[in-house]
Amino acid sequence: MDISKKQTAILQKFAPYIERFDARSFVWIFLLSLVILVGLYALIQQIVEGHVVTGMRDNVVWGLYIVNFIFFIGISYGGAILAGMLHLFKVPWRRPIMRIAVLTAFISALIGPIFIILCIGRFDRLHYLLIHARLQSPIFWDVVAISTYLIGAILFMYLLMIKDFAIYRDSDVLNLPPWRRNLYRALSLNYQGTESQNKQLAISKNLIALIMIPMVVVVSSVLSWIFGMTLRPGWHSTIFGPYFVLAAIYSGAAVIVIMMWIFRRAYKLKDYLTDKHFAYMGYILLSLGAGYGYFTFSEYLTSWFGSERWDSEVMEKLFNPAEYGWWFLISNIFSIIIPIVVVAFKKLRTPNLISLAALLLVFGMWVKRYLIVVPTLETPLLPIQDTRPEYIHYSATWVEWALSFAGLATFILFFIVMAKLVTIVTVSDYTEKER
Amino acid sequence: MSLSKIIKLSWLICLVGIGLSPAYLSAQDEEGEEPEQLRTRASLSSVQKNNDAISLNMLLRAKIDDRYTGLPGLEVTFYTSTDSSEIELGKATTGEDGVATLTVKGKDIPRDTGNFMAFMAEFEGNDEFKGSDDDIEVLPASIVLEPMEEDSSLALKVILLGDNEPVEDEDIAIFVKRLFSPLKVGEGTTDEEGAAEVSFPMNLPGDNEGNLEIFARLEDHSDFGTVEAVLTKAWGKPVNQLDQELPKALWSPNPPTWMLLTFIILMVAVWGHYGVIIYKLFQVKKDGEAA
Amino acid sequence: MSELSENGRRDFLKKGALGVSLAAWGQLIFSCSSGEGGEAAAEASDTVKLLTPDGELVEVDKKHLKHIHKVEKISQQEARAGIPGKKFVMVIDLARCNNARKCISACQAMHHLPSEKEWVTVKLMKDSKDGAPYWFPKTCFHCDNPPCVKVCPVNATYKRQDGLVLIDSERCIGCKFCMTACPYSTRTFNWGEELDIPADTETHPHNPETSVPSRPGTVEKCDFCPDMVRMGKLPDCVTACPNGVFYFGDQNEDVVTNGSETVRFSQLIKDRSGYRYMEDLGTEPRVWYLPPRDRIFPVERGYESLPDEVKERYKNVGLDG
Repeated sequence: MDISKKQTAILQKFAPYIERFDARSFVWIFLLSLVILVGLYALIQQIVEGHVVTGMRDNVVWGLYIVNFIFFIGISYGGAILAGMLHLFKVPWRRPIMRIAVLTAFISALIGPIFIILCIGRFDRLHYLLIHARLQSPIFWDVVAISTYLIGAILFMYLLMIKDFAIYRDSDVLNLPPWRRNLYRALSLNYQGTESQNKQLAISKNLIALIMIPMVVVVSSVLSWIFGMTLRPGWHSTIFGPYFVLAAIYSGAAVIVIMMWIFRRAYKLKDYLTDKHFAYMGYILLSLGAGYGYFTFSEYLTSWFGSERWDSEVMEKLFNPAEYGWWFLISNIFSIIIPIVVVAFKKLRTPNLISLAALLLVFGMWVKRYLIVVPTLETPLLPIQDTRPEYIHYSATWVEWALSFAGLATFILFFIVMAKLVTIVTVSDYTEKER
Repeated sequence: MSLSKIIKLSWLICLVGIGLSPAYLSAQDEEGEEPEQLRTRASLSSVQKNNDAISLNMLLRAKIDDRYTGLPGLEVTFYTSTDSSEIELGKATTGEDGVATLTVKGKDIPRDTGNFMAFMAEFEGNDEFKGSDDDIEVLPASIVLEPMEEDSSLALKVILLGDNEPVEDEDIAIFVKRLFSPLKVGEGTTDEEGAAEVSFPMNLPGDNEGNLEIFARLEDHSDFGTVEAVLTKAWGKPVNQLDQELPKALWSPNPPTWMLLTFIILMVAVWGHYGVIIYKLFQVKKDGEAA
Repeated sequence: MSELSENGRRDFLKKGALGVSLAAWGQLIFSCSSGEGGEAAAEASDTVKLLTPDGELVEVDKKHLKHIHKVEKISQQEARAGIPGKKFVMVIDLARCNNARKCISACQAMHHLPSEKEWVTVKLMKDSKDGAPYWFPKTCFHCDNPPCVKVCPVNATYKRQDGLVLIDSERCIGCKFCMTACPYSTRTFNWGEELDIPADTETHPHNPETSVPSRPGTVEKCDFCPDMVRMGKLPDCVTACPNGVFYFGDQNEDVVTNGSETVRFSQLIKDRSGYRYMEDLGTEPRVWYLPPRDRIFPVERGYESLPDEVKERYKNVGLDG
């Protein structure tokens, strides 16, 4: 197929990054593998000894694992819905961002569910979820939602890659081993750039982007309903669905910004990921942040004002500096105030600062998930009246931390590997006539 | 097998090893301590029923943790005695609650001069428990139970006969059989004819047909022991005890219809899109082959 | 002897033996003859050491003591359907509880639980700052609209027609969703094998009605002892209570009993203003409470004699001051 001059130029730029692993990637891969190995050791501990090695006990039955699950799945949903919107609304500046967005969606969707499996007491019985499925259970909804979504995310990512695979297959610029050429040949589905092929692909992309948006809204609501459907203070809230949807998009957008920053530096992509792109993503962060702040305010104001007994107990824990007060404050400053301030002022609206704000935001959102899960579980309706400290207060053990960091390391590792397999900007997009 | 199980198993093997070693056995012998037997306490009681059946109940207990506890699984032998001899009536084993029960016919039991029946029950003892026994003497007695139905009320007429004579001034309680223990619904005191009239509640739940199993009982009398009569009457409210299908509910295995429909619609919508897309990808591949 | 024919005697013996074995030992004999012989034999050799009232140590065969576990086989269908025609209900009389904690230990013995694990708990409640403290024994409420069953993704915990909510620990995947859904903190989890799984029950055939043996990584809770109920016996917490706090019975019969008293359920609720805990949650518990009015013990009675470790649990309520 025809490869334009511009595309050849891009391929030449990316050739060193996708042809082979350089020393720097090897160091990264080695370090990340170490973290993952520690996580695997922790996992073996947990399998041999049982969940007693975690900090979870009868009151706080969910801990870091569930926090990480919501965190990663949320990022994935965010990446997918943003990619869907950018595509569907034909946003002109989307070209260098789409690939990062769908990769974020795909990789986080692989890692999130692992944490659910870690949290389950008997993962040898995981298949019971299918053979003994109960339609009424929000966990069943979630299992169906995540697996359906994962297929969609893979399809979406793949559809946006087919033309690129054809380019990698046919390009003379890239010096690739035969197995990789064969891989690209198989993945490119004989794409030759014919009119009918272009038409089919365009329809497919529009369809997946179209279905992705409502699907993400539903599946992230389903995620929130695991909490919302229980009779627990801090969880049993009608706005939990939209609250989670918005939080998911927000954290997903932030992770996209962070990845943009990393690749811009690592691959020297200043010409592709310009300051403008960061500013535009910043505007998205700003509007999502405002919405997220509104939801947060609304949720806690309602609870606090109504001051029902159990709600008040959870509020008391969240507002009390001796308990979770500082973390609550940090979470809200990091994930609401800082992003809005950074983007709102022109002087602060630089790629570096926006990315830093996005990083703090992501951390703040992680803390927020912790503050959703743990304080509520530490506040049962009946007094705990136990003398064992681990039954009263949750504190994660090294096993849980090791596995959490292993999850993060896997995310980065997968990104490094994927960035070797495909270019981090969509080469084929640069032939299109616009711009 | 998990690590902990292996550890457990090896401990077990060690323990078995110690248990079998002759050294350990001889050490035991030297100490020569015969395990003490636990003292038991026996109490025998009788229930005379209106079909001439007498059930003999022997409760065997021991003091464990400062509480008398029934001892299950022990064999009790029942006897009846006349002035001259003792006759074995049978053996029975104590149940979970420590009670061994034997039912005999009143007409088969020999009487002594005062027309008393004498019963004895014995637990012979074993390695662990010391033996114990108990005996009682009972006069034959019975209760006649007659239902009295009027338009708006229910009642029972009870006649207590002891040694074939009406017995006066005794309290007879009326019970209805229930799952764990009988429910007392009334009580009456016998007059000089041995009779008492006890009213019966109207609104008790019965079985599907409203049947109730009604008992009249004289409890632990010094001469007669416990005397009992039984009557089944459809005096209760019929309660539909037939099992129903579990409803379609959030908590049942059957989901509500709307939920199933919503689920199917959502799944068809999403997977339908996937299907179209995958079909189009095959088209792309075919077109490429043609080109 | 003269009046008793040889035939008649044999008849007695037969009837007696038959009656007894059917009434009480049917279960054991049944289980012995149905291939569990090996286990029964192994169990028969188990002895326990006991202290006699005279202070001497004796060894007693376990089978002569209570709480030998019933190894009866109940089919999956039976264990899921429930006992036909019943609707079990419990009434807890708060006026009588003095935190004797016998319900807890009896339950633990019955279900082979370690001492830290309490399916029945006794909380010291004080509903408001100036309110009166009272002891609050709590079993599973076996709700008619059970939030735990609603959320179970694999039908491991289920509601039966006789009102009981049970757990099939061979089915449970340990997601713990039911534990977060239960507003009463009823459920417990087997966090580790060493901690929670007693070795002596490992060979028991599994049965959701006995909740024994425990399985690591699964959820457990109070089951109202349906294995006892099937034998016409009250659950162990009911019989163990020295104060007759727990009444148990069949609501279809409108009768509950605490072992010594048997009363009309509806009458008891009417006379003593029975209520259900947190009725406003809409869970429709099958456990009713009688308010702690005209108490037979001062509340301190249940506190003073406690071991320090247990006392510590109730510190926050402030009975000391």
